[in-house]
Amino acid sequence: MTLPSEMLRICAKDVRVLRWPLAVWATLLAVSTTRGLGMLQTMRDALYPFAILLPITAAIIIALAAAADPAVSGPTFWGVHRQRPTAVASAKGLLAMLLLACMVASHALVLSSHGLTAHQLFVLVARAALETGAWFVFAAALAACARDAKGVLAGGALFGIIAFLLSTIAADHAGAMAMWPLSRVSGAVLLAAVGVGVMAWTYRAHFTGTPARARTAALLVIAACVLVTPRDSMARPVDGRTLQRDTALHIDTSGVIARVDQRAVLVDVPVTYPDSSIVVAATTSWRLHLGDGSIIDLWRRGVPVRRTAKLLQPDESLAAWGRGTAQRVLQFRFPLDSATLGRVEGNLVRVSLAMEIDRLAMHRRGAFASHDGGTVAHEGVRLRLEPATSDGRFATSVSYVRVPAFTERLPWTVAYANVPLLAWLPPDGSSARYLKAAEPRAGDSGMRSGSWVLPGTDMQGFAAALMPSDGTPAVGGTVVAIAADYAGRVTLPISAPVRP
Amino acid sequence: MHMVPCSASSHAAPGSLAIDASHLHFAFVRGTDVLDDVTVTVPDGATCALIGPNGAGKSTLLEILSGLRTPRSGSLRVQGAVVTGATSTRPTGVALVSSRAVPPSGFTITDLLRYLAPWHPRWDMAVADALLEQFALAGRQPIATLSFGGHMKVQLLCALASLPRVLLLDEPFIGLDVATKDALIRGLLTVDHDEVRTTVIASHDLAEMELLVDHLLVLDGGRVRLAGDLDALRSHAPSAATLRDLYVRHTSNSPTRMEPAA
Repeated sequence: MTLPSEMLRICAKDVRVLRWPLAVWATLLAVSTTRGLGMLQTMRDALYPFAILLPITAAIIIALAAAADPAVSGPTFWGVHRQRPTAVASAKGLLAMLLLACMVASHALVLSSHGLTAHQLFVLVARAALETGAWFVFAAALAACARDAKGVLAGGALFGIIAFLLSTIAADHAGAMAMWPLSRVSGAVLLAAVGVGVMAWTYRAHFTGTPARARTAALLVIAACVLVTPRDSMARPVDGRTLQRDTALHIDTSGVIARVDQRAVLVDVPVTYPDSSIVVAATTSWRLHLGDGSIIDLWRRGVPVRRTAKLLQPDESLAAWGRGTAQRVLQFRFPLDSATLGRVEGNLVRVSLAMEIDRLAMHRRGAFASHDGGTVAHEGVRLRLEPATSDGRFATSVSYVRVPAFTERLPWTVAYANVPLLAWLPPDGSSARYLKAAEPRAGDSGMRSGSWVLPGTDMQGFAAALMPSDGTPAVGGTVVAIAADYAGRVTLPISAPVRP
Repeated sequence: MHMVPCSASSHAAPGSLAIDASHLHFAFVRGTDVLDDVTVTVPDGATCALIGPNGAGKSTLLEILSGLRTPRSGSLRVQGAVVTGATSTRPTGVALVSSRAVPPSGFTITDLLRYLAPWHPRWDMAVADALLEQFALAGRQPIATLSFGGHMKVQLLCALASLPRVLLLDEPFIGLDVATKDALIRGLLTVDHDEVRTTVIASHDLAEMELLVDHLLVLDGGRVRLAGDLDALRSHAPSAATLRDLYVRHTSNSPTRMEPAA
């Protein structure tokens, strides 16, 4: 038999042996697709578990297929019957590709119903295929290293434990993790490459006869690292601008003011930034220089490496929308423990820190009068406006559906290159307000949908902060759909004396 | 090591060897040889018993003979084809039956036979059908419902249907009841008169092998302790009438003899 025919025959065997799990998977796919297309609206939330189970089921099927023909145990049935190792490994890959192709087709079908452009569709589908495919490769490679289904379960459990431990560490060191190599390349690409390598190594012969502990351990650790790496870093689109210095920002390092209050050091950094931007800053390290010449390195003393601050109030950036550049003072607050505070009080002469500033460039993706009704769709969000009252005078209901980057992706891989935001601009344009996204519900980590009522009357139960400043009803207001793209990063050291 | 010249089977050309292995070495872990300078020759048409204590290297030797494992050093020819070395190929016409190679579930026996057929150029479905009847197996029976003995029957059936010229059996009698053992033995004895089949059986069931074998290979500690034509070996040691006697005499973990009461 030729290699392709051998591969097809083994794959057909796997399909036959796993026909019942495949039937379950096909059912899940059908339900998820139907749900994604907007049908079954009344059962949308109830059917959410189906969408979650779909990729998990697919991964289990792929793992079972690989475990059925392991390469690390003693003489296997496929081995004694002269099946080529490359054909066996290729058959597992073919099955994974078939499942992925069906899921991608379903995903493309769902996305196409949201009015995306061909380019947007391609990018979203390709990204989803890569990320989901990487986890499929991981499942196959893990199973190939196991002797049987029990070994797969044990490997899966071990993976869960490693991921849990790493995520516990990651919670305290999220900033540091964002700087390790995994955050600079796509975790999915890395995981897929390692998985393919493990598969190729494992199936290089009929069986190795030796435990695959080293390979399995490496695979598990890398997969766990990819899993717990901050998703915004992992899913950030490959963009030449990402790692470039953002020359559009002007940061006045000479204007740093550092002072100490009872419990913290406060640092203010004036920054001039282009309009329509969101600036997110973080420090990678900071030091206190004392009068006696000693230095307190707070990074090494266990203070979290990065202190991310929400630097701008959401409405402030929109207030500057279309009005030229804006200058803001970024403020950092570094908490001090009591022991450190005792040392620095009255003795602090200088503060030095390294700061990273990321800028998100905001783009207007759609805007329409709040009472016009209708929908606007762009990458990631489908927005719908409807009069909340019968005459449409006092309020407008805004609802959105965030188009998932992959209909059936795992919850922890939900990530978006862009950050879609909604804002409401009253007619005078002077006091733009963000419409904050609804809090994610349990099991809805992707914040897939939400709704608000534009404040027409206080009877709508809106928070006072979202009321127009002049209290004018929102007649004639505009709803703006905005996407914030990652635009650039600047890293700079700052050193400044403490002012009395 | 006691070696006795092997005699060729009546089916084969005089002097032709089905298995010709010289100075085989194999180790899972460097420094711990599982096989240590193993030299084996089995003539065409012979049925050879491969016996030895646990850990002697019997299964490893069979896996090397089948081409599944590659020895660290040494040379191996199976049916005249070089199996080891730079120009090696996996030997054709060799079938290995191992209790560890579990048939895939999700098939019926007949479907499994059809699935395997393309991998074996000499596959004969008529032989498979005859063995199904002989083993009292139903072709429509799902593999998943078979007992351990049933799995062994299916494995033997698959091996025999491929009409192997060299049949390697690793513990074929393990865990089988008497009736199933008889069926297996009948299956092993079923050879087309036009075929020459060499069989190597590794087993601890010495009584069963007495019925089948005409050659003997005793392994202990990865080394060959005794090898040759069984009749010749017996003639050299008149007091060793059975395989058990030869095993006891040539292996290190011989069981304690039970002396008859006075």
